Amino acid sequence: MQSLNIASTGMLAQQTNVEVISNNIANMNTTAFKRHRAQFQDLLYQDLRRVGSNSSDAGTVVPSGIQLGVGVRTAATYRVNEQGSLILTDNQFDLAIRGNGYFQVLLPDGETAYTRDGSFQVSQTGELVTADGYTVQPGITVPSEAIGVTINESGQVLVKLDGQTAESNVGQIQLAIFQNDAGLEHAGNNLLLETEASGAPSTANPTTDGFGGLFQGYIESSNVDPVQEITDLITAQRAYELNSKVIETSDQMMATVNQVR
Amino acid sequence: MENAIYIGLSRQSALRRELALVANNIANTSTAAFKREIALYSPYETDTKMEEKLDFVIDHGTIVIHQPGTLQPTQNTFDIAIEGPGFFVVDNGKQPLYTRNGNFKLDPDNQLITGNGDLVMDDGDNPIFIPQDGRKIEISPDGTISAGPEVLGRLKVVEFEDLARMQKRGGSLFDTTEDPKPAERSELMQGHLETSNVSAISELTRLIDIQRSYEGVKNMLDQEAERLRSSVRKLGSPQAV
Repeated sequence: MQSLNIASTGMLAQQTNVEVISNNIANMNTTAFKRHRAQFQDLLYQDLRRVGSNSSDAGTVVPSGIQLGVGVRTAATYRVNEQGSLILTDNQFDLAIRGNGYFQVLLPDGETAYTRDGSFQVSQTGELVTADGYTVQPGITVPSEAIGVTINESGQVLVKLDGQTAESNVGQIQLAIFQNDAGLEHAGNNLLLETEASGAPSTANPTTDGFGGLFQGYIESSNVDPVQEITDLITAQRAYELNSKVIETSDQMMATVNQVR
Repeated sequence: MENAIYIGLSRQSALRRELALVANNIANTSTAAFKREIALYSPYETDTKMEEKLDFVIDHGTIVIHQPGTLQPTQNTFDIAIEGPGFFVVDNGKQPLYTRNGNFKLDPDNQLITGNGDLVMDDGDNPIFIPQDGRKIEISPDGTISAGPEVLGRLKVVEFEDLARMQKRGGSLFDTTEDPKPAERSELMQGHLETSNVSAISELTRLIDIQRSYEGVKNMLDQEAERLRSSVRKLGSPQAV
């Protein structure tokens, strides 16, 4: 029975759907997490009787052939890059991006990763680092004698040193943007990596044309909307049930055949 | 004399094929821009030795229901839904194909592609190139793609007179023998995707109907077998005369 195979592809697809949704819900409180969606595609079609084939010697043509699809597959999961809401933390090294862009982070292997999670800290040597201790690029060193640090919307890092009245500029945070954010690869730990699909990054100072601005003392929350996720979860569950109903029906029809005397 | 059995069988094999069709509709309830299908049945007249003719069942076709799905917001720049009867034109390297699934991406050469990797065509039948300079891409209802004040191109959207001639090619793609016409009644919606037009209720109803019809034919076959058996028994025994 072909319907059994078709329904099983449907159940597998819905299972993937539930997995994507559960990962979203699990990351509801992850800083700057972007929710994912699963995208599906129908499989190939069998032409049991082709449209346009002749149905008699007189040349009459079949107006609509018989096409049978063989199911569904997961085509992709993609990120929804909607802005998450900003949460006030009052932490002086917490930075949120409002608008487009990613912070650049230097991984221990020398590669650059990208993140919107701006919950930064200062290392022993005064460098601005992520929660994992990876350096933010371009490197910024905050002098140990600094008594106040201000990071403005356009990414300038200004420190006030003990005994001085004027603030001095110790660096400039730059953002990277990708034309196709959805093509970035996940590396876990809120980090993203460049791929062929995302294209190369272009970097510039925050608030320049097309780039977002920085907000000190805020972090970006995840953009997971629990109501939306629960609705999707219910839809996925019902679709799963519907597919299992097809399997049940196919099974009962096969049982009917077995009962024929 | 065994005609009844063959007629029953023709109905059962048609029902089994329809079950596969309903299964495919249900499997694709979450597929963007999927169009559900229904089966067509017709009687197939056969001459017999007797006066009257017999009608076998044949499932002579499947029809794609091109009713639009609802539009779902996705917030993605390259998710584009069509409001109206239009289709996007994509090129798989061999021939133009048509799709309503506007879940597009960029390839390494910055060209707009479908989820399958086929190139999306502009109104001059060329691939669409999106520069990677961080400017926000806007797609207007008529398909014009612009980055700020600069126009980058225009998506080709076409319409067809006879949708019944469109054949599915998998991966949300359609093929047709008809020449496309420029779209007049279609508008694009950026940041949206069209959902599948499969209705759970009608598919479930059809599922029950198929199963019960199948059982009905089976009962008919049982009765026919019983009738044959008893007639053979009666006619074959000497007491019957």
